[in-house]
Amino acid sequence: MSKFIRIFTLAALGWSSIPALAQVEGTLYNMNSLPQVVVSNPAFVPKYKFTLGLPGISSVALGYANNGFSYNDLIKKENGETKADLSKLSSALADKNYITPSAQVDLFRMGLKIRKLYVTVSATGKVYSRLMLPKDFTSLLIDGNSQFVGKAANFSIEEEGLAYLETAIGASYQINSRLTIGGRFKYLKGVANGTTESSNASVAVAENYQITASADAKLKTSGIYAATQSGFDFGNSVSNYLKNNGAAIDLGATFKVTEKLSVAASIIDIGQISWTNDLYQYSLDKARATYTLEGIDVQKLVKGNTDLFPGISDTLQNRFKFVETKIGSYSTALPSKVYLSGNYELIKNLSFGAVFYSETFRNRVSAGWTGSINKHFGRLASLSLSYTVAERSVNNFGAGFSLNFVPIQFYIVGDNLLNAPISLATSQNLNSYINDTKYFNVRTGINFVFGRDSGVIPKPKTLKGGPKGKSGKKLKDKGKKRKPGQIVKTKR
Amino acid sequence: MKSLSYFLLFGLSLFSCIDDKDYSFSSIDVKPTITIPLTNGSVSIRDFLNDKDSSYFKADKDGLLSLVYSENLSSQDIRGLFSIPDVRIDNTIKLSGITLPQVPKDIRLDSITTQVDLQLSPEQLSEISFSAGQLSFTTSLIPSSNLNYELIASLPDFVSKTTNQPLTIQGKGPVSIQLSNYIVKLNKNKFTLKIVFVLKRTTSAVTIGANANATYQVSLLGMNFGYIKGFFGDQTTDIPASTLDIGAFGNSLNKASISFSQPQINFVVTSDYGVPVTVNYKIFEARKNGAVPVPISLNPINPVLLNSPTTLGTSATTSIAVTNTNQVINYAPTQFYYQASVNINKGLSGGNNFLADTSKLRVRLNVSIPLQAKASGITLADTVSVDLSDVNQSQIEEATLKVKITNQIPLDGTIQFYLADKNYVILDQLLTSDQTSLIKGSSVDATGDLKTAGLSDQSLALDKTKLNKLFSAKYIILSAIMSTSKDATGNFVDVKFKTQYKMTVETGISAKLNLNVKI
Repeated sequence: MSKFIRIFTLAALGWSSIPALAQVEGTLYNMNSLPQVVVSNPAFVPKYKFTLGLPGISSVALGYANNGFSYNDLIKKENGETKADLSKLSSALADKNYITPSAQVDLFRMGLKIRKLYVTVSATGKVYSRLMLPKDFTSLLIDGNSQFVGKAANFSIEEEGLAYLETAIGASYQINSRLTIGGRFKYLKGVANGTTESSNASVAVAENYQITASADAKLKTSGIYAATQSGFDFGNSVSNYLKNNGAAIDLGATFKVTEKLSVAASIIDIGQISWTNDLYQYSLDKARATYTLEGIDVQKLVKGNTDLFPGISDTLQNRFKFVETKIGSYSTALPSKVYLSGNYELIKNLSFGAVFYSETFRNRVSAGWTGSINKHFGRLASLSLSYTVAERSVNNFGAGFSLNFVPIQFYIVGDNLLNAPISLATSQNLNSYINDTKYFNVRTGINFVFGRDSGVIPKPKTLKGGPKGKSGKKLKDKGKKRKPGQIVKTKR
Repeated sequence: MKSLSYFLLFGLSLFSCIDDKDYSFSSIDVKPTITIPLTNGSVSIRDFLNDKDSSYFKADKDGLLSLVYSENLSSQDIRGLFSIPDVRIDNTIKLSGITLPQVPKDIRLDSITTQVDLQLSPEQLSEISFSAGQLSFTTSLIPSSNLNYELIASLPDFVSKTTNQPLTIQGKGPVSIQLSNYIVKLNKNKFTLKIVFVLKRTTSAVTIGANANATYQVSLLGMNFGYIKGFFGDQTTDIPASTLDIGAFGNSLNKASISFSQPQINFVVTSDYGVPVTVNYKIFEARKNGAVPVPISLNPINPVLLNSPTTLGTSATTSIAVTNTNQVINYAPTQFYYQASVNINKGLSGGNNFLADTSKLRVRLNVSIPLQAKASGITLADTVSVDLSDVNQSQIEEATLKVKITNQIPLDGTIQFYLADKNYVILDQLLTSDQTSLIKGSSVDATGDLKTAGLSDQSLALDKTKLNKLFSAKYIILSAIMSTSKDATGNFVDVKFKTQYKMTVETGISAKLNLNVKI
């Protein structure tokens, strides 16, 4: 029974309807008023010279991505009643439906700018889960198996679950007036993991309507078996849960193409965790996990045998029972991301940005893009409005807003937030917003920020006694030396 | 914590903006189309037979099936014709008056020899080996005296089985002899008995009165034989009526027209009796319930003279063939019934017959019907109890029955599923008339052997009206009417049914459902 609970727990992680954070945040990417902007690119430098984030305060992020269906795909309304229409749901599904909830909590964050160097130190708790449901799986349950006559329905469900603590130290350095590079090293402590090493399950319907189910699957877990045992006390097991070590790096760069146009690129979470604690594998062997429903044996029927379905239930239970075995250590890679972006400053404090991003994890590459308009209202506030296409979802109007009462900065940012007030305005409730959401993330918190960089680039002018450039003219900019025409600050 | 509080506050405020009517389902609609296999597997002709009938089917080296009965119908004996009555011989020897001073040695005074008749008729036996019986011998003097004497009874035709010595009894008696140890040689039922009176030696004076008599009595009681020989006479006896139950044909052939190419039914009678036996079948017929019996014709024709053995302890057999075999088989009997009488030495006045007390007249039925035939109208039926009353029939929008039958057996067939209520009143037929030709027989060559398997692969859309009646039905009566395959010209040919011929049946059903689950 406990094994069932463990399998169920893993599955439930993927099915969870709790909104959680997709790992990729397009709107945040262009909000350089926030210290958290460095999450997406270690070369980015926020607007404040010193920032501090305290545990549980500075950043709580939740996300949810579902490339298959929204709640609207499940329901229909007739005569004022809401009905579940599973056929409608089935037609909306993608071939592979990834349901990805995730969450992050900053435990600590600090950023310090020292001349051309910007140093960050952070500690973050992260949870990531992804359940892949093949369309065939739900389609067979909803629409029946007739559609698969002569074919096989793919039942290869895959689950990835990952919880870890990340301690990172990073830095960006302004190489010259155009190029800034950044990098971050992350030391990881894995907490729990469930990963599908292989999953090949199918339900085939032959031309003669015989139904054959077969499965060949291996699911590895760490930190889950013990947690499901009676009398489990996490407090006494913390040391065990910190045995899973890992490391990752982030790399990024920004480049000022012109005074108004800059581009950036980054690679995030290139690394892995080696799992050594509480390791169990749950497997189904195809040699055993196969069963064909052939129908009633004609011979028995002719002979008048009344035992026409001998022990089907027991047979199925025995053959498709996961075999639980202890295993040795194994490693899993992190969901890695790639960002490519461009930003154009239309006028002072108003810019347009676009970012293309992709996440690669366990043989799946998911991509999206976000376009945004970003406006700083003096030192007091910053606002971003965005539009995101991701996870087969095109209805994502996002927003980001920060209030900067230095040294306190409150912010909220998300890729599909703007539809909420629209829904309120049009329907006086959030229903249409919730029902239509396939992609959602939000990050909010309170940072302590100090020393806002004005971002003002004074015009070069010749000063007596000042340093001379190659042209022989003297330059002065708040005591910093620069070459003629040199752009000192990257303003985004 | 503060952030969490804000978050919760934010969340609560959001929840207040949610109208939960969208998240409370009144019902769930789903319209799956389900396909499931119903039956699968292969059957041969043997599978259609019950265990009892199946034991009667044999396959030759080519696999050709034959219905082979070989069963002892009954054992009859005719020893009831023969019994040996008790025999008593009472006689007197008259003694003349005489006085002797002494008798220095035994003196034989008189003797009587008689031929004793066993009083058998019409038998004229020449030999009896006794299996039971008792010979008693007693004497007395009249008037009684203390005369010292004895009688000697000699039965020279009675010979000991162990010593081969004739039987002699000496003394005054009473004496008893068990006859089971003796064989008696007879002359047309008669044997010789000789009685001698002997005056025993004495030193005293002996006086025999003038009217003195010596009487004796010889009794043969409770005689039975191990065997008898001689002429048994011209005799007739009835043997008990007998019925043999057979199930090979069941009810399948009730309405069938069937013609086997080489059917054989015969009776083998084995006789241990060394006497010409003629069996006269008064009634010999095939029977089944509700039908007029079919008389069975025989060869040799009735009455039948049976062969008889020439020596005691051996047997002779006589084969009696049924000449109207096809008529009998077409009739599909469930029983064979006969009444008969047995006649021995019919029309004879002499002969050397023999029989033992273990001798029998054994009748064995041999049926051999190679399943090479042409037939039509073979009916198979079965009834299955169903109860679909709990199923909401309105949830089934349409259904299709898929049938794929690959048939090596040379039988075409139509199948219908009759839907019946609890009183077996037919509500409807599940299939329309043009959907019933589900079994296509294999094609055969000129010798009746399999050429190519028949293939029937059909998807039968079930009429919704008929389908709805399935839910009120309590029984489904499956009825199949089968005929043997025809040749290319459409004529029936003698087809062979071999044990390796299979009929592979794959059926399934596909149903489109419209499920509306109220919550």
